[in-house]
Amino acid sequence: MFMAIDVTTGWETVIGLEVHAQITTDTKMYCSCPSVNSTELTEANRYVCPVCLGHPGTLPRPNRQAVVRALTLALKLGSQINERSVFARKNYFYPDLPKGYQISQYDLPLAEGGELPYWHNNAKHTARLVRIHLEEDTARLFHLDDGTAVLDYNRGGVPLIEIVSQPDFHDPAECVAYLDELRGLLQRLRVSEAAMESGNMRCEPNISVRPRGSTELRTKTEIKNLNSFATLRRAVEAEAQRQIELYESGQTVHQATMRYDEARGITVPMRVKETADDYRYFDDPDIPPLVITKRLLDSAGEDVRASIFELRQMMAEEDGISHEMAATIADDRILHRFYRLCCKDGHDNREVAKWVTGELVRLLREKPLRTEPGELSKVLGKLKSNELTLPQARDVFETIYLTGKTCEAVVQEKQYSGADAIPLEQVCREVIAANPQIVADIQAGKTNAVQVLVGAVMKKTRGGADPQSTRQLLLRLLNAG
Amino acid sequence: MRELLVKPGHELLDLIEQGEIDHAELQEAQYQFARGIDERVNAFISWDEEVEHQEWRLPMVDQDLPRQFHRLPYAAKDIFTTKGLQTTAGSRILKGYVPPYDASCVSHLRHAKNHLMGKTNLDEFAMGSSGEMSAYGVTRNPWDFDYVPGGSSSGSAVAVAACQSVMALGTDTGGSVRQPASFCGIVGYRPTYGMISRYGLIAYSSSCDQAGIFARDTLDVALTMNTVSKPDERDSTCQATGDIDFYTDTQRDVHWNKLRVGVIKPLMDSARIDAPVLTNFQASLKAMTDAGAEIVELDFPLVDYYLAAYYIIVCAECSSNLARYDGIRYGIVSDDEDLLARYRSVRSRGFGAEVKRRILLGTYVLSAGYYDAYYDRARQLRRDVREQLEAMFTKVDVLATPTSPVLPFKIGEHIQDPVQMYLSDLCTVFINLAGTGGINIPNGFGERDGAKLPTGIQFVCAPFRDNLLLRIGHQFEQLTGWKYQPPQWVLDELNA
Ligand SMILES: [Zn+2]
Repeated sequence: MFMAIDVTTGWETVIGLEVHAQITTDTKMYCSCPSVNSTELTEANRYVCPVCLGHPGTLPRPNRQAVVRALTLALKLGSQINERSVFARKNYFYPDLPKGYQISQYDLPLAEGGELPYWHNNAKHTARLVRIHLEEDTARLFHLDDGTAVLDYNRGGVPLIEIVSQPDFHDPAECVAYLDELRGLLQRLRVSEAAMESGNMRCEPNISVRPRGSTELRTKTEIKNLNSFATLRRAVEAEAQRQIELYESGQTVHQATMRYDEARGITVPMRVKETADDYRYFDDPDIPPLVITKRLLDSAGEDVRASIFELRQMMAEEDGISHEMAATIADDRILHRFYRLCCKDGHDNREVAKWVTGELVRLLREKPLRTEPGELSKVLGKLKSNELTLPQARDVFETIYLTGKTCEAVVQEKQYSGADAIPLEQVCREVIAANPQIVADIQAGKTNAVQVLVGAVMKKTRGGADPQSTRQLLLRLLNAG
Repeated sequence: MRELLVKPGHELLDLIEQGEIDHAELQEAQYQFARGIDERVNAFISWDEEVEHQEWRLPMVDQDLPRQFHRLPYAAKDIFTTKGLQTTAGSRILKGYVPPYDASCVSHLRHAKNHLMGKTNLDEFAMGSSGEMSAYGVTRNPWDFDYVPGGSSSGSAVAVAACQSVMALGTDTGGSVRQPASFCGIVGYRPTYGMISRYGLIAYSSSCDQAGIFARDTLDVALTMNTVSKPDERDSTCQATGDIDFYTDTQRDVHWNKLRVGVIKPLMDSARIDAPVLTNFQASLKAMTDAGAEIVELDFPLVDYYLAAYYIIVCAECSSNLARYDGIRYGIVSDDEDLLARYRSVRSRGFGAEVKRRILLGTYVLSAGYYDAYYDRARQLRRDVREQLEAMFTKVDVLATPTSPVLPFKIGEHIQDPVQMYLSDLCTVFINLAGTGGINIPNGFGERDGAKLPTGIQFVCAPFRDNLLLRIGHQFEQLTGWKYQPPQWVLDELNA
């Protein structure tokens, strides 16, 4: 059962997003255990020590590398960095939390505000951010078939960055576009591997609905444990639908933490008490306030540059594109996004790099962008399957870029259908008819003059024709004529 | 050898260094004596039997260092983690818990080739002022077995007073070193917050907890500080530099005629302070005045409020610090299938009444709706205490107060009345709120129901003026001609 939001109803969905991403660091957030990516398969409870197991007497020591990485993100997003930020304890009982509290940030986070521009439906949107803060990941709890539960503390204490947005989204697709942009940025800055599938980037949407046109914010609910964009989309839709139905039947929405039941396609309140009603936050007395010195900030600024440099090296070495192209792509958010997504669609790295640093750079200099990487990807696909010639493909992409139309629409409009199907013969005939003098010269034996006609055909087809076959066709027509 | 066990550590070290005695024999004598008399006082929870001599194989202590506490027997409150040796915090919930690591200061003492004899009894998780709140039995005052030795570092105080150990580590969250030192008639020092690493010190109230030292005189305290006050990157709140030679500095002269000693008027009020305590305190002041010191009377308007603020803060922090005892990774366990039932079972059985009371209070004051009224106001009050103390230290070099407002009380006397018990912290807790240092120096005896019980004077320094504090303590001992004499029964045992 799939429930879409009916845009014709009088309800509007309001969504805010809390994103957690594991920060790429050598060691955990508060101890010196190796910080292992959750995707790496390792023996359970291998990377643990008295500190991250919460042994009596142990103390946390904040990881400077994690602070610097988080600062690089904050700098990039233009957030206000708090000169003095405070670590706070979030208290609740659960077996995945060895100390009985999570060291997070509360009143004074690392950074506040900032914004992230992203593209959606061929338009530029801007997501406003509330805050960016540091915290630690929990251990992993697995429920076995026999009813027992087992714990793996390898993940416990891995540094997390939390990025909280304003409730600026009204449609799950917008959320996905924003998340995708954020993911790209986290990866480019080397702040996080940000892979949602492997759980090192997680998203918790909070959702409320309101009568369309109103600006009130009604009671919101939160959905936890979403592990893909597709699930996120379905879960948000289901939850919005649930709330609308409640209001429409005269009931109210209560604040709750929900989970998405994939099989039934509905959201249900969390069964296990993994959350508390009152976290009793207070400043952690074990960690003095984090003072962001100029040195730390410089170091973060340096990291922004270094991460771009690293990215460049990696693209050159692993993707096999030229250093020059890699440099151009790595330095620019939009270029990197196009590059990354088109490569992900299976296009040849070098081919994509050529398009991104050529056509896209040229167009970006002239006019604002009105399209998305997916459209370029489609153009590249048509080029590869010979549905478009190179010049046609360039023309199509330029039109897409400037108008924001889809690839399909533009191709249809222009009636391009690939080099072979071009009504070349017809064009040739027209050219022959329009140039009687040259035709006469050719027929008089000056065969080289055919190049003039080829040029005219090329011009008429905007380069769409293949010069060699055009030449042969022209000669054939003239002989026949 | 046994008769030497009454001497302070620095004198024993002289003998060892001069080749007069063998340190291994000294350790053995100390260990046998301590175990032999412990059934009378119950100062120890566990003895270090298996790893007894392992520290002697460690590399020699660096010869270039200033004089260290070195090759001597000592005891540690059972709240410092000791690798391979059970550490209980006086609680049933940690019965059988063997830590996988050493507390920083224990590790420093090991590397200086000292011998840890065992772990001393305490009020559970350091919550208490009498030594009656341990899951491992009541500790008794060696001056009279019917009286409490003070707390929470009760076993450490008794071990030094009863000559079971040369020195003992304790912790002081609200007076837990100074008050039992006063009750047992020995020196007890709580450094400025951050002077000794808290790594490996099982947390009660992280912002007030500080390791402290019990010894027979201030010079031994200084000797120990040279070994344990070291920078530690595992404790973000540690501010020790490790570059002060406390032992040499403590022996420098205090010019009494240049010293301004502040006394806090409300803490000399006979409505608050027991008569024998006050009498001895006045006599101490007179000794200092006679030596040329200037006594400056100071007011302390917050005196009626800071005790409440203190209990709100420590309870709040303890409610969070003790959340980790869930029976999952260590300590006692439960085989309940339901998670909540498991937590309930482990924590109900594991914690004693006082600990439960403080966890409940702490949870309450941090709860939504009560946070502002309690915890936040207590924090504000704490800032005010700091400011008022700062202001005092612009007028004086050091503060002097009685260490405890009362003489040692009888075992069982306050057990039903926690508030009365909390009041015995009146003279000590403001130091913990302000994060500064204080030391108890014995200043005589008082009589209660025919029992002869020790009293003490407390000196308080401005933050990080600990070297001045130790110098004053040492000079005060010289001034009063004080030298530790244990209770007669201990002397008899030593000479038996
Ligand atoms: Zn660890």
